Amino acid sequence: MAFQPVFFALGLATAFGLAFLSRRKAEGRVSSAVRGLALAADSISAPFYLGLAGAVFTWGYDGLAFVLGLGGGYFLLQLLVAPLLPLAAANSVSDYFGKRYGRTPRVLASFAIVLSMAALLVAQLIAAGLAGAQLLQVNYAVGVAAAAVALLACIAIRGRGATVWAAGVLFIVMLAAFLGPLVHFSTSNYGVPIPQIAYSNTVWQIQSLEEALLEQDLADPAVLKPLLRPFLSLSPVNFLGLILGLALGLASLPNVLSRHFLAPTVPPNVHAARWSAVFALLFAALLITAAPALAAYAKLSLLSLVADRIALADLPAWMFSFGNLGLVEICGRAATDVAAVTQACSGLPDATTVLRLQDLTLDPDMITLAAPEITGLGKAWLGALAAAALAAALVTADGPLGSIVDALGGSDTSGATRWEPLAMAAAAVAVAAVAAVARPAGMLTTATWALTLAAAGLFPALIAGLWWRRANAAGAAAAILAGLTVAILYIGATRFFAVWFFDAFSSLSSAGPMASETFDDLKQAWTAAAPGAAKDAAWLALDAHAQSIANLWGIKNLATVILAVPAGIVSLIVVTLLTPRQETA
Amino acid sequence: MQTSPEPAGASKPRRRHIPIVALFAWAFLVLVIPRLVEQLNIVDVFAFPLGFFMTAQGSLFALLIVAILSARHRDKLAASGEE
Repeated sequence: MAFQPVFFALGLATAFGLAFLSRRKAEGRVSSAVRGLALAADSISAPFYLGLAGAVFTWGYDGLAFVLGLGGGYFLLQLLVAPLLPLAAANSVSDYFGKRYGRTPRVLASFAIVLSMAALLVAQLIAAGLAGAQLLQVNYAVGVAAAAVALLACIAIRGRGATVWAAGVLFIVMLAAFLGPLVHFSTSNYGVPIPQIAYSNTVWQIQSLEEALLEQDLADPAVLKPLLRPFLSLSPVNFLGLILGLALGLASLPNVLSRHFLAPTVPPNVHAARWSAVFALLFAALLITAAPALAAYAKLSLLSLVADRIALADLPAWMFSFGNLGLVEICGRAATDVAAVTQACSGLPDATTVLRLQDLTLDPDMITLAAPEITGLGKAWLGALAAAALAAALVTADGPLGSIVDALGGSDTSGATRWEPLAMAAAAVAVAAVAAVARPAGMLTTATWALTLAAAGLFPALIAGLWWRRANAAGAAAAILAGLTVAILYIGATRFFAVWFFDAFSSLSSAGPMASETFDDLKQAWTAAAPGAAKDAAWLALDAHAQSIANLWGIKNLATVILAVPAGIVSLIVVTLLTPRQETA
Repeated sequence: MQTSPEPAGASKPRRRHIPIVALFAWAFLVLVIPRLVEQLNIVDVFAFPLGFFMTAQGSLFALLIVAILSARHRDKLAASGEE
């Protein structure tokens, strides 16, 4: 345990070292391959780095929507966006909207940029906070605070230095920390050094273990989600919506577009822009296709643990270290120590002394960080992964921060003093850190919302700006307004006002009669509860249930783009055609 | 891969052809294939059920190949001045 802080220092040293070297280097010509590496680092960053395997682990096949969504995003980027942006002679995404469409679309786009980038920043700080807390064995809030301070230090050290090659180097570090131990594990267990192929054996082993657990009553058929069976966690519509949200969001992500295709240092070279996005797809694919392998190895180890009928008193230490962060629940209660777990499980109607699969709830956000211990590969890998994630968050957070400052007008050097952008960045980090500590949603969910907001707010108007000469300011403004409004309202209402939302739209929800009845019972219990702790607890139960059923036609908020992007596209086309042709641009 | 730097604004007077074939390939690999997972799972590839394999990695590598082919094609178009 004692050597873990060394990895925290290593993560910080990587980030600070890259920042320091950046300061001394001017942003010169960068090859397409290096830019591809940097682009992959900027878009995957810490939340997806730590979250992808967790999604596959928790949701099985349905979690692969993240793999396809991100991969598909790079493809759209190289095909539709990257080659044309450098020709626009703009300095950032908000500047592009200003030059292509004019003032009003620029202001609206800036709003979309600030929202999506703020969500991404929060997701990065959640990731850095989890990694920091795990490495330093401290409280999660302390981890987030440490990451926020380190982030500000990084920005101060770097100044206006070069960033692209630093992010490129970072991605190599991220790849090495992720793939190195996976290759070792695949070779030693299956004799194949390519994890993407070696884990086919694991998939079948998992399937037979799942059947064995069901036969031995160690898993509940209502709870078990077999790895290979599709659409158990996400319906096909949600699966598709999640893929689209990630793909369209990645192709219009302001931090990526501004840094790699619009920065003043980027030459207007169509060929280079196109190939840097192709390289990004190549490098990112190496990482994101290995995530299912990591998930499968971790899942097999966990299922084996349950199959061995492990006693609650003998649970492995990682369950408690993540339980203390609120990421592991056993028998419905946070797994803080053996006594708490034993008490919770003995209080169940079907009390147990051994661990059963249905007793265990693992948050997807912790899987990658816990995988080294789950698979028995040891603390050194955990240290390397967490350090790489920390460095990823610190180095790439510069992108969303820069986009926020720019969209708010902070990089407008005329009249602004030198410290103004820094003060704005510091304020943005402080706000994001407070949000990250509150953790209104998990790291992966928050990062997905960030991409959803970019897709809903920016994608239709951006693509029309590049590919449809007829598209005009009124159409673009309508598209941004419609897409963004739908996305904000849907995500906000289904997450933060779920009870109200379900009350108002229960007839359009996919909730069955049983779920609606439970909602009514919980609501009555809340109304009847005495003010104080009992009422608060009743509200929590009601709100949690409402969040699971607050939807329109079964669309989850992770798949909001299914509603938001068509709203944006229709508004764009209709308003453009109903208003006069734009003379300039 | 030939280098063909284009001057800023050079594309403005030209018509941009929407890369429709590549877009269809994208839609097929990213949106259609994962929907057919159960039918594809009947076949095995690299000891994986094919549907799972495609969604987890196969489609991504296929996308990469399409991306390379389409980028080379676009480079050629640009060099010949058609785009």
